[in-house]
Parts: sequence; structure tokens; C-alpha cells
Amino acid sequence: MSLPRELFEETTLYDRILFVALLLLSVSSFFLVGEIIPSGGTVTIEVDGRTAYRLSLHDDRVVEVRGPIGVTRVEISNSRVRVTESPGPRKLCIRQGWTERGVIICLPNRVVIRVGGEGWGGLDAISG
Amino acid sequence: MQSQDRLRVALLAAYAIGLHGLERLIPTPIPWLRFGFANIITLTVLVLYGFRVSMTITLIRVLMGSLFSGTFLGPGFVLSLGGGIASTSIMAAVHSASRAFSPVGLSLLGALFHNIAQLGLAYLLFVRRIEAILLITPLILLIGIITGGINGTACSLLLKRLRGSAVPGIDGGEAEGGRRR
Amino acid sequence: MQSRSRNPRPDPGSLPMRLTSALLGLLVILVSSCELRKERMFRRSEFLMDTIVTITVVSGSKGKADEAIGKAFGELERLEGLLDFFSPASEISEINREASAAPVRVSQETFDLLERALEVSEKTDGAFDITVGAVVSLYDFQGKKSPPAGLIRERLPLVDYRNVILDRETMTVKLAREGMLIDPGGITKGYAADRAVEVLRSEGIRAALVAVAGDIRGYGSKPDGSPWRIGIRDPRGKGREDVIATVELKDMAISTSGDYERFFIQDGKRIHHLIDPRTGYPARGVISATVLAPLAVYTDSLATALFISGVERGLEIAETLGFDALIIDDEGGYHMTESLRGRVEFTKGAV
Repeated sequence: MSLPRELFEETTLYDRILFVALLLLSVSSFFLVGEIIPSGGTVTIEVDGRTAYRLSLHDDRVVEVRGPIGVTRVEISNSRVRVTESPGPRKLCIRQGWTERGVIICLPNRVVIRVGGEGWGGLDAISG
Repeated sequence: MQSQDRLRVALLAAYAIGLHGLERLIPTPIPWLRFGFANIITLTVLVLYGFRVSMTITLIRVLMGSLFSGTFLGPGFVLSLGGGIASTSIMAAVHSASRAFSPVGLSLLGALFHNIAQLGLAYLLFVRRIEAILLITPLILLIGIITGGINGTACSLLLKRLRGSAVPGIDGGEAEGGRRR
Repeated sequence: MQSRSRNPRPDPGSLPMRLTSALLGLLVILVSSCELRKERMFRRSEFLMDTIVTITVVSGSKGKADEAIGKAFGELERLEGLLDFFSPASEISEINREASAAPVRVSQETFDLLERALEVSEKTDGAFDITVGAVVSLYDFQGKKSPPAGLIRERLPLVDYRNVILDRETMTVKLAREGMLIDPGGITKGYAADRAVEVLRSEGIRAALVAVAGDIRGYGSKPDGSPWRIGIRDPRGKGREDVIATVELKDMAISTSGDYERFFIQDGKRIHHLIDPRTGYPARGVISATVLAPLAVYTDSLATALFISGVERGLEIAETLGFDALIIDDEGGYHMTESLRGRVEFTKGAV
């Protein structure tokens, strides 16, 4: 008996149902989340849950925000965003690289950068 | 627990920590991607010795792992702890209620609940932006299925080999710890 | 022992079966909510008419949304060419150069816009007046210099909307006095928002929001069925995005005029761009006026008119026309029309 076949027979019917169900769930969640997450031209930088900056994704610039353990530097260029400097042992948010849509999280420094959101905290426009 | 058991727990915990550390050395395309190899040990122990031993090993692994990597009591530690407790608990609960799932199914459930717990904790404690959590959920779920499947299969193989050899306390795949009713 | 645990027959009441059906149920919910969320919002901003124009449309197709947005921006560019006060090639410049000598023939759009402007002037006792350009141009907001009183007195007779003579039959404009300057800047943004909405409607877009700077017109509702939510800028806030109140907008337009847009401080007094056409000096007593009406061409001009008219007369004008208004006086007090009460949500504590 070959190894793959042997492994397959080790699994139960429920294993297989579970596997297929989870697979469908995760694949469909890709589409669902794509629908929910707004595509827009706003970059929101939050520190510890408070909005520090709300910038246009289409204006190139570099900003620095101060979090609990240091300074996180965010660069916007060519309608993309990346973190170029941030304290934290693993530098995950720097390694994430350029992001066009979605989120960059520098967890140790409590910095959350939302890319492509709607901006203005749930408002569609501002008069004045 | 006899002294021989203590030795075994220590040894298994060491394996778990070793695997946990080892997977950090493997380069991955996504920085936060983890294989969760330590779950192979957790699950094997769960089947062989039951919930208490596997939870003990999970807690030791999380604690020691964070001490070694210097993330003790940091966000990573909290997420790791929450994920570990959630996955070990769900695997133990399902395993003790029925034998419908093989280690592969248990591992899939473990990975799922590990991820749910981590995402939930990340939302409650750190991020507070539901769309941030939602955005990474699909990918994390998918990766969880893949790594959960691989780890479960590895556990199945491991159990098969162990059952084939004379391991103390293993009686046809069910130890006294695992059969506590 | 092993055979007992492998491939057991499915039992509907068992834990794994329930777990599996729960998962499948979740899956069905996810997939079906996917279907419901087919409509999305598409947004694009461009720099036009000296300001940022943002168009948001609700559509099920990105291609359709992009095309409609593109056409709406095209219309705005065309209008900009016709109505730009500062462009020598525009019809407005042509009127200012030649209409005091002889009637100038203009396009349908320019004529319509001027007609609307004069209509608003009449209804507001001249608080809104497109001929105020002759006096406003004396103020140097960049150089922070206000003109001497004598010069204002000298130019003031040139400011009177009644001296703009429109002839619908020949589609011509005549200025009764030499030296008059018409500057439709206080009404073009609103007019542009209305035109963009018409283009989007004819493109089959069921809901959209057009914001020409602070002059905003919306129709329909967002993909989730909720109305458009508009913030009203805090006149003494920290910037454009510092909001004092929010209001819901459904098939309506909204505009706000404030003394923070263009101003400088001279001798402790705020010299702002909202000049009273009847005195030649910045209007006092109000720091922000917001108007809600079905057309942005009205809200744009009326926001200015209400600001200049002051709290009492301003609200009276709004009530007479059946529009809603929110006026903030120079002590920070809120005043609004009866029917607006309860529909404005203050974010900084209401009076």
C-alpha cells in the first residue's frame, strides 16, 4: 500500500467532510471579505486605537507616528503604503512591504494602518 | 503522576519547544505564517495520555517558547497562549466526546480554533478594527487547513509507528489517560 | 479497537454531525450574503474647478461605475471651461469684457446658471449677488490687505444684480453699468454638482454622491440601504475633517459657507471672503451657515446668502423657501429651522 493511500485510509468520513467544509468556508470567505472591505483612496494611521493621520493614498509622503515603544515611519508612494521603520522585535510590519489595500499592523507599537478605507470615520463627505 | 511520566512529559514538552523553535527558522513568504508543528506533539500526547498532559505540555511550550524568543507577556505571547489553550481544549473536547475524527480531523479543528482564538484576541486586545481582522481571516483560515492537515497526518503517522513499537502506557492506541470517562 | 474508531456510520444527533452541519450552515450564510453584497461603492477624486471633486457611485459593476464617473468628470471639465471667472476664454470672462457695451450671446448652461443666480438674489434681498465681484476683487486675501473705505464706497454702486439683464429669447446677457464684474463662483460648484448628478442618472447609476468641495448632492442610498452621511465642518475646528455635526442625505443637496475658507486677521478682526454686497464689508454675526435643499445650485448660493443675512433673517429666508438650514453664530450658538431639529446629530455637544 502506497503512503498517500495509507494516509487517506487513516482518515474518517467526518475528517473528509470537515476538510471539504473548511476549504469551502475559507475560499468563500476570500470573496466575502473582498466585498466588505472598501476600496478607496484613504490611508488611516491609528495609534492605540486613536486616529493620528488620515491621508490620501494618492499623495506621496512620509509620516512618522509615535507609539508606546517608539516611532513608526510610514511611506506613501505610487498609491501604495509601506512601513520603513518601526520598533518591535520581529519587524513584521516592515517585512510586509508595499500594501495597496488592506491593513498593516505594527502590533508591538500599537500602530494600525488601514489602506484604501473610506476615510472620515463613516462619513461619506464633509460640507464646509 | 509517576516519576517516569514526569520524565516523559518533560521530554515531550522539550520536543514541542524544539519544533516550535525549529519552524521559526523556516523562511515563509508571509512573515506571520506559522506551521504549528508543536501541535503534532500536543495532539499525539492528547491521544496517548489525555487532556491534562497535553494541556500541560501546551502551557510549558508557550511559556518556554516566549522566554526563549524574548516575547514573554508581549502581544505575541498572549496570542500564542490563547491559541494554544483554545486548540488543545477543542481537540480534547471533541476527542473525548466521540471517536468520529481521526487525528487529521482533530488537527484541522485545533488549527481552526487556534486561529479563531488568535483573531478574536487580536481584535479584543490590540487591533479593535473589525475590517483589519476580517481582511486577514480568509488567508489564515486557508493556511490553517493546510498546516492543520499536514500536522494531523504527521500525528497519525507518529501514532501508527508508536503503536507498532512497545511504548509504555500505550495499549492498542488508547492509554488510560485518554480513556478517562 | 482501531476498527471501532474508523469510518463510523453518520449519526445525525452526534457531535461531529452537528459540528459539520453548523459549518455548512455558516457556509450557506456566507455565500448568500455574498450575493446580497454585490453592489459596491466606487469613488474617484479629481482636482477640478479650483478644488477637489469627489464622485462616489453605487454600482454592481466596476466597468459601469468607472464609465459613469468618467462621463460625470467630463461634464464638469466642460462646465469649468464655460464658467471659470479666471479663464480669459470662458463665457463669464467674455461677459465681463463685453456685456456692458452690447448684449453677449451665451450657452444654455451659462444662461441657466445666471438665471438661477438672479432668482436667488431676488429671494434674499440681494444678500447673494454675483455682481459682488467688483468689490470682492479689491480684497487681497493672499497679501492680507483690505481696501481703503473710499475705494469700497466708489465701487459699491457697481454691485447690483438688477443691473444684469437676461434675455431668454436671444439667450443674451447685458450688464447695465460699465465696470461691473460678475463672478458666479458662489453658485457654480453647486450647479456643477447638479449637472454631474444628471449625467450619472442618465448613465443608469441608481445612487451616487457628488461632492464639489463642500457643495454636495446625493441621491439614492448606499449598498447597505443606508442614506449618505455628511459631516458639517466645525467652523472653529482643527481642519477640514474636524466635524461639528452630521446629517443624513437622501435625494438632497447640502452646502456650508463659513468664514474660515478664505480670510486674514486685521486689527483683531477677521476679514473673510463672504462680503455683504450691500455694504462692501465682510458680513458679521455668523461664522457658518448650512443649507439643505433638493438642488445644489440653491444650497451653494443660499449658504452664502444666509451667512450674510444673519441668524434671524437667514432662518426666515430658509423657512419661506421651505429649505432647511443650520446657522452657527459668532458665539458658537446653533440655530436651525424647525424641520431640521432631530435630524442633525451634533458630535460636540448641542446647545
